Amino acid sequence: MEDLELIDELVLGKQFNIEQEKKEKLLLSIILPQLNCNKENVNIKAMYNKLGIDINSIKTLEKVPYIPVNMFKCFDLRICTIEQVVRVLQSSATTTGIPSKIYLDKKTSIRQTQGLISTLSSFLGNKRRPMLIVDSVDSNKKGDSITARGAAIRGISTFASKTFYVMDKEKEGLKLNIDKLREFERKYKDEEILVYGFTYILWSKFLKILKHEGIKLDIPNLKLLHSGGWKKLVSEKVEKKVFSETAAQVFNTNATNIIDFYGMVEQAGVVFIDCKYGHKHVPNFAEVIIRDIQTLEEVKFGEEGLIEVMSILGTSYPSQAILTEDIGKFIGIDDCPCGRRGKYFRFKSRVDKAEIRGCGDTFAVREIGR
Amino acid sequence: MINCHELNGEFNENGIKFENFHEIETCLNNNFTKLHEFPAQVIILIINEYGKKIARNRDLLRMEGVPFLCFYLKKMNIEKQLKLNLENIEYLDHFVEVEDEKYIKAQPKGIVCHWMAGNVPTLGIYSVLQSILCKNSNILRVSKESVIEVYELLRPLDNIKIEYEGNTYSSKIILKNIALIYFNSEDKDLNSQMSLKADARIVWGSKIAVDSITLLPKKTTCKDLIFGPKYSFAVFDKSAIESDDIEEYLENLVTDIIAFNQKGCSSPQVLFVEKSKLPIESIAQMLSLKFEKITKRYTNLDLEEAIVAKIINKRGEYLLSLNKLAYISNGLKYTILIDSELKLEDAITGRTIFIKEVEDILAVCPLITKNIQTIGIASKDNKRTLEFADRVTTLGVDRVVKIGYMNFYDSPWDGCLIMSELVRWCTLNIKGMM
Repeated sequence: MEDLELIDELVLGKQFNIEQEKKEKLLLSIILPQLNCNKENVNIKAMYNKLGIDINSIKTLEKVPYIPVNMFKCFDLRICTIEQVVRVLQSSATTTGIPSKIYLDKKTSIRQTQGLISTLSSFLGNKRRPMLIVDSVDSNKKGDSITARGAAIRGISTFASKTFYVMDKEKEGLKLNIDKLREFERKYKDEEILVYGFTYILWSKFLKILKHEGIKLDIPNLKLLHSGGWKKLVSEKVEKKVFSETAAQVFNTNATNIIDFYGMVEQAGVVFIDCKYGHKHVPNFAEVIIRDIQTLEEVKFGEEGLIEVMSILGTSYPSQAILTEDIGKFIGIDDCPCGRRGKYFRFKSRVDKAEIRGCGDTFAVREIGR
Repeated sequence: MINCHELNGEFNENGIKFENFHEIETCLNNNFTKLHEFPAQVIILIINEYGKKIARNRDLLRMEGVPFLCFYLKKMNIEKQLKLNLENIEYLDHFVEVEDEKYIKAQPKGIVCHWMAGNVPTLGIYSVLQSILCKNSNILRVSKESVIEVYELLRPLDNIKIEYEGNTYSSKIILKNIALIYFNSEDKDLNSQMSLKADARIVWGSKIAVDSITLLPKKTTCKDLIFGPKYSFAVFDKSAIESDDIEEYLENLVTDIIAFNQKGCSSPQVLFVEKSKLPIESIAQMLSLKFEKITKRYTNLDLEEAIVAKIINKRGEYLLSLNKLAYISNGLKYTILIDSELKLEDAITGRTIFIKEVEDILAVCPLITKNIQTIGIASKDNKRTLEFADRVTTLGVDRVVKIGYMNFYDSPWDGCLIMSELVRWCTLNIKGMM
């Protein structure tokens, strides 16, 4: 049985204030019963059986069996009944062309929103403010299925007093509506505002266009949050610093107001925002394990590895431990100068999919060789 | 820019920069005749000494594939290889009478250009020495990943002196006929320049690499030896599985898998086991134990991120699937994946082996194409092995070898007697002239 009181306390309460040792015990006490529930899914049950998992003998979070993030593209990893599903989150499918499918029941959906709000409050405060969304209204339309972009917009919109979508959908693409943007600027240029956009859309459809057209805005009191899509920007050789400085120039603000956060649709509700020291902190209801790419054990401070994101938010899908294809650097525990407790890390990159090729680089049936 | 690490018998660890091949070609041309004057036996003896020098160097011996290279370089083996390729070593030194007043001599091609893949550094040595035995000059272009290893492997070839029939011969002449270079593989201009110098082009590598090099301009007289991408696998028949030697066969399979990070064209990616008394799960468990034992000796895994991602995803797929099995190590030391689909799986590498059960080892025949290089076999039945080899080689396989020997470099390779291709077979026919 779930310890609902403890879960609520961790999700709804003030974040980043539990010391690591205590946090690990609390999370483990919640996650182990959740693992038992996961066995309702035949695929997960098969995996636990093949690995010889004895849930009761798991003593550390590191030993909790993880699911590689791509498996959400290959299997229906749903724990609840189909009737209980209120929404299906879908990833952007940029690498494989197949989106991840994350089934949310009402409880999971609510907890994800609550978790996101608790986390963002630590960085944005609780005050609601006008929010400029660099996307089209279609990205957040009502329905059974929602994309990662839609999910992020919904979550952050809880900090908005009003929302303004500044992009128009045009055929399959997005086009900046300058008139709407100027109208927003006129109305709110002296107020504290929020801006949110998917990193790649912000860059390619907004910042690049404005810069090219020589259009500058004057909205200095903003917090611009952006996430996702770095893969495409890296291929265009756009680094984080360049992105932040360009955005700061366009909005006439300081680059410190441009905030990148790391998250994924498979762990909606869990976001990692840079503190003023450039560290990403883990909220009380989640955990991060940076695993060495050879041993898969947790790395030491200062070392890099695959980022595993753990969370107690999911009851409709196995959110407890998901191994990503992202590389992070483990920085420390409990002692960031910003005062936040728990582990902290830096996001480094996506896994480099380029391989050293050789004479064995083939697949027998690809070529007609007879 | 070309970075030349060895030219005219001089080594340079950091490399000398050249904008084009002019100086390299001049050096090689200046030394070509001197090598041509070497009796083949002298080259064999120098190579034999070279092998001994490598074998005395512990650092070099730790390099993957080097112990076998030392064996390969032995006089007895080189002579065997030459005889297999040319029938008679004398062809390299003289016109040999083959019929009444008809003579044949194997003359060198000229400049042989080698484009080496990065995954097996020792291959550069095999490639260049076979060409040297045919008395050719060589431009050995290696990849960025292997340049240091090839450089270190070539160094012991310096300072070897051989007494033969009253004369002294120096290995310096051999080195003067080798230019060890690196340049960016995407530099089309340098690739084209190198290609145009070649009287023979030897290309080892991936499809992208061989496709791009074969399209380069070349002399009309240039001979191409292309060793493109290939796929290999293993088969165990019932007689082997039910024999007392099964443990040894599995141990040998593990050594074949581990070598060259399983990235060689001869590395096994799938094991087909013939149905026997031993269930496939038991075979997998036994194989796990062999991996556990042998990987203690090979602790340096050093997997690339891309391979790690592929292994993790395959493990996930097989663990979550209802009709597949996975036997995996802590960490990524090894991965054994079982399913029943009769197919050749995409190579994952990084010590990942797929096991599939078949009713009969001949069931693999429909999977054979000309892209299959080596099949490692375990069988107690010679007659059956011969029958199997005949069937699969007819369909496209180049080598069938006993398990444990899959990665041992041999002649012929990829269906080709390389040295016989690196000479020009010249004739003298003077019957009735005098």
